[in-house]
Amino acid sequence: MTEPTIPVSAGMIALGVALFGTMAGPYAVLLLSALAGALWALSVANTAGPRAGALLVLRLVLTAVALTGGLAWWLESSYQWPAQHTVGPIAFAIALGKEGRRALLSEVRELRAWWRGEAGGS
Amino acid sequence: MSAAVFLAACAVLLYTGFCRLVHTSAATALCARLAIYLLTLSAAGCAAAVLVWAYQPGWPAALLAAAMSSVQLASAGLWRDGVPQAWRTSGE
Repeated sequence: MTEPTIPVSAGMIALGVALFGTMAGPYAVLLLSALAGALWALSVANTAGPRAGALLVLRLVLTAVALTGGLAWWLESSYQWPAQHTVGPIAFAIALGKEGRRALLSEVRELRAWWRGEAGGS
Repeated sequence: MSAAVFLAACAVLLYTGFCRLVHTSAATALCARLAIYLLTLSAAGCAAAVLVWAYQPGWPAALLAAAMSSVQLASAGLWRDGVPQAWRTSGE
C-alpha cells in the first residue's frame, strides 16, 4: 500500500478552507471585528481568571453577532450606508461593551491631551 | 508544512495573548496593553486568513510567527503573579 502523498496538516487546512471558506468569508469580518472589540474589553476588565475571561469574550462576541446584522440592515435601509462596509465597525462597537467603550474614549482623550501637551511644550 | 507551522504559531500567540489580557486591566500601562492586544488580534486574523481566505504563508512568515511564539513562551514566567510590576500604574 502506498503512503499518502498529501501531508495530514495540508489536508486539514484544505478541509478547513473548503468547509469555512465559502460560507464564512462574509461573516469572518463580522467575527474578527467582534473579537477585536471583545479583546479590548477583556484587556480593561478585572477578570477572575481565564474561564471568566473566556466567558466575557464569548458573551460580547455573541451579542455583537446577534445585533450587528439588524443594525447594519437598518442603516442601509434608512441611510443607504452599504452593510458590507458598516458590519465591521458596528460589530466592533457592540463587542466593546460599556466598560470597553468608556476605557477607549478615556484613552483617546488622554492621548489627545498628551499630544497637545507635547506639541505645545516643544 | 509552512502553513501548519504558521497556524500552530498563531494558536500559541492567540492563547498566550489571551492569558495575558485576562491579567491586564484599565490600570495596566496603555502601551503594554495595546501591544498585547494587537499581537493577539493579529494572530486571530492571520489564522483566519489561512483558514477562510486560503492565504498560504511561506517559510519566512512561519518562522517569524514561530519566533514570536517562542518569545511569548519564554516570557510567560514573568506573568506568574499577574501583570509585571513595570507595567502596573499606580491604580494596580
